[in-house]
Amino acid sequence: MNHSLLAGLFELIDLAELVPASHAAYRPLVRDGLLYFLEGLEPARLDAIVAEQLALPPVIRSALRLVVLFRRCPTLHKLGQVVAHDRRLDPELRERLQELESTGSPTPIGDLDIALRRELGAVANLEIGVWRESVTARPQRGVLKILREGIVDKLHEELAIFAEIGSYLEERRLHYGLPEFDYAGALDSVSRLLANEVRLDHEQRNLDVAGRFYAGSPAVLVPRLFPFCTDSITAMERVDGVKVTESGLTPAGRRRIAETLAGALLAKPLWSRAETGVVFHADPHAGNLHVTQDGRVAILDWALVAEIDKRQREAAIQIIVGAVTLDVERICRALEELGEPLDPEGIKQAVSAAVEQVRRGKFPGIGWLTALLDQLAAGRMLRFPEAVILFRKALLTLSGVIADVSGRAVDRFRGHAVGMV
Amino acid sequence: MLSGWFDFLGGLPYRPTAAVDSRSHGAHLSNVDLFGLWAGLPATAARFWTGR
Repeated sequence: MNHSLLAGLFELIDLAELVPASHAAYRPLVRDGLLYFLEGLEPARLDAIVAEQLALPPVIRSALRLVVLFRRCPTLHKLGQVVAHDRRLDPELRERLQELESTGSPTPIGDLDIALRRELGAVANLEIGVWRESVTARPQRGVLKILREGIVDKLHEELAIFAEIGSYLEERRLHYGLPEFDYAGALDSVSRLLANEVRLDHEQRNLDVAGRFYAGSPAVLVPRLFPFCTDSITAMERVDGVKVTESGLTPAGRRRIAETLAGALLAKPLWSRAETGVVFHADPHAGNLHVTQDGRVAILDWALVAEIDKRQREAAIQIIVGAVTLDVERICRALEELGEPLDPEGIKQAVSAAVEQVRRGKFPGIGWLTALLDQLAAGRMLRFPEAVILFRKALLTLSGVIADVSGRAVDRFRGHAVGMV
Repeated sequence: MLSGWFDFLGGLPYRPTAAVDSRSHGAHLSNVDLFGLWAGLPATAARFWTGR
């Protein structure tokens, strides 16, 4: 693929719609990164992507071009879902990105039938379409989650590019005079986590853990696994509902849903006293959050979870306590529990500045905490474990979804997360 | 934050019999943490007024 042709294609895409004004200085870097990423793809795949873009009308909005591009690349698809409700983005782009929360064009059932018969027939000698629970003899409606053909290869190809792109971004960052950031480390973490997206056996384990974790939460539904799962098929309870952002409920009903979301996905795991079995859903985009007919919130797709252990949760609270007491040393000690300090002096300065904000009246809540963590990560002062990075990504997604559900902005825990993610 | 407050209140009945450094009884705060908060109030006030 000719570099200039690809670069010309990007002339048609206005990155101002993708990268908010607050991060405008990063637009050239994002452009370079996307070009590097696309040029690293298999020639046949890249040709198909470019041909698809060229077939679009020349005057089409950049938002649609980006979404068409994102649908072709699993990693970009995931990125689009993460930021789809971020209110700092162009409204049309957000609306387009939210289309990525749906599965897109269906795979013909005939193509799936063979794989299903092979997998499920071998496990349970099942007749496709009919399964009766032995105790109740009632028909059960279920869902089979199957990976699209070729998706694993595509993902691994893209993750291999991710492994190289960090050093390239570092080089370009210097060229553009942008602040220091550990691109390689962040992309490496994200890569390893995205690799879990195609590990259905991991998701089944997560569903099992989440089912037990939310067993005492009547307002929350986690799909129940059926016993005939395999490594390449997840069989589970079917959930009939609509996306939380399209519930059609009254304002009061939407507020109740928003409260349930915040309580179930943030407060319950954060305040849990359990040592183990506490999971944060790390991919809470609206496509994974449905309102059922009986008013419960169904939490779907447990491929990505962040397991924040009790020590890390305690550390987070110690940071808040340190903020309330204006105690810089206490916060620094707690941060050492949460991540690996790389620049102790820088950490102390950043914490002192954050504490000064509290002294001047800023509420030391989740928003204050995430802003501090983002600053430490962006400045390469503290290296966070994957689970914490994932939790931060989940907060970004969740804050946008809750804002859309309740109709109110939830800036207090959005912070500056785009930089960190 | 509000749910953390309720979690803290829910753990209060168990605190008298809990190990002083256990953070398993509400809001991830031990009795030592709470005592430290109370004992540190003058220092907190001083930091507030002096900004140091």
